[in-house]
Amino acid sequence: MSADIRPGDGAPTATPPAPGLHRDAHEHNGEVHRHVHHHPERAGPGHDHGHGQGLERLTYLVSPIHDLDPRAKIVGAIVLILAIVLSPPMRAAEFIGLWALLLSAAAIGRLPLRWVLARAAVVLPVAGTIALFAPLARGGSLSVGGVAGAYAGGGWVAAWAILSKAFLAVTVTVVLSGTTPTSKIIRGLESLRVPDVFIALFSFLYRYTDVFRAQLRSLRTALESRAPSMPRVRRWRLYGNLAGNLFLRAYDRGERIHQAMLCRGFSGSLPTADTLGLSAADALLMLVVLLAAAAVALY
Amino acid sequence: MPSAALELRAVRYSYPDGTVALSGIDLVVGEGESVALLGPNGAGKSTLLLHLNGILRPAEGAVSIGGVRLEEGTLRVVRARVGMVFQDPDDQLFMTTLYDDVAFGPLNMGLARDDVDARVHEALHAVGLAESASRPAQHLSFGQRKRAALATVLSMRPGLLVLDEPTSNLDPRARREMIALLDALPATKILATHDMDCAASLCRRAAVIDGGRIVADGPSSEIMRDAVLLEAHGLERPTATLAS
Repeated sequence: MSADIRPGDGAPTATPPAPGLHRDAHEHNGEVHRHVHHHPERAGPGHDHGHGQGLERLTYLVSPIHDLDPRAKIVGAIVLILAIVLSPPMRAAEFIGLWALLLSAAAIGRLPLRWVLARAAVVLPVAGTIALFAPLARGGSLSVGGVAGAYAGGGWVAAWAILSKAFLAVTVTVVLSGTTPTSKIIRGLESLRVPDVFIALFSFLYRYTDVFRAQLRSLRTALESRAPSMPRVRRWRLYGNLAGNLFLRAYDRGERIHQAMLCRGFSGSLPTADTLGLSAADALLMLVVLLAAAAVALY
Repeated sequence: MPSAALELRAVRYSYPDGTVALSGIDLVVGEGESVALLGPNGAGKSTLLLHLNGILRPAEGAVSIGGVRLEEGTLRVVRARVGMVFQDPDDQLFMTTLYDDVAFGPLNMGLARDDVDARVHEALHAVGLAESASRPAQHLSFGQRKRAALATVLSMRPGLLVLDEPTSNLDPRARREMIALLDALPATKILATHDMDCAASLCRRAAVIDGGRIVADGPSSEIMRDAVLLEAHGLERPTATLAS
């Protein structure tokens, strides 16, 4: 892997890169990346080309975890999540063991630890709200004693189970999505025989979420600027119209996208350029995941 | 006599709700010509463009591309020959990476992986986006997306380029770059636009369409000086000709 690393624009090389398509790893300001890229026709010395930010940047880093086949990572993640969700409330040792496993995967994958924690913590407010009901509710009604009452004990165990499981399960998906470009996840799902309809759904969801968010924002801005002092209730009612408007626009856009696809010979599937290949490392990943899942299930 | 790049004969089309969009369009475009399609909003420009590769089918009349009549059996051949660039690049860039978007057409044409790589490389270089191949479209600027949309059809090496408002919403520099880029492409071009200066600098010939029919067709230099004609159809003279 290290043999084909080229210095990045931080450290110019004497010879310009060969023209054409590159899939090699290269270094930028101390970070080693690998992604499909081309060089400007008359490229100067160095390795000059655009790079993403945020999640996109992380998914193009080079690490043993990034190199794993997306199918192995997807199946591994599903197995781990199932084991986490279906097991009885976790003991401290199990929790710490899984947590250590995920953090080492993140560390090998060069993901910043704080980034992983922050992303996984997003689930805590949601899971926390649900978890809070566990000590309070009993048999379908609120328990008399409150969170410290005599009946609350079992509830606290359930609350811990909900929180710990939600946190671990989300951490699994964070590590997966941080070390795998979205296009590869979609390619992996495709090759795992997920139906074309779902594949198209996932890719369009990824591609168009921002577009719709921008449309919604401009609709809201238009509403607020024409009705700055509208009472809240009436405004909420108007949001119903807004949703309808957005639906129609989405429908129109869907039609135009379909036309654009037909223009370029669409015949039912979305071809992508990513090639997949299983290796010994993928087998090792599956082994580790199965052992961890078995440990959680059987311990 | 070589067959025309594009030939429309008495093309009529009505929308499903009964609105007449095209009421008898005759247009012949020769190989290598660049034609600007001018006209006010709702004149039928976009509807006409959608007829050029069979997305819409005429109720009456016929469309031929490079001598091949457009019908059910020739749809795939014609679509491989006509590169259609939509006005909103977000409609055209639907894959998860720019590379996959530009490779979409060639892959659907059944080309080998190496050929596809080479074509993507060539198309991305032509529009100056080579360095962004692995990026998703939502991380590109609007000007870049507009050029990327062009690359997605250039990779199919179309003989006829059909462009709907190629310069709309671009900032002046991006607009200039787009015009220079289009000017350098050897393909036959049809472009629908409100950008009179763009039309004047790219196209020797202009056709004015209004109310679903072509009301004027001739050398751009003449049409763009005809203030009465332009005014009557909601257009204006390009700033470049105003001084003279």
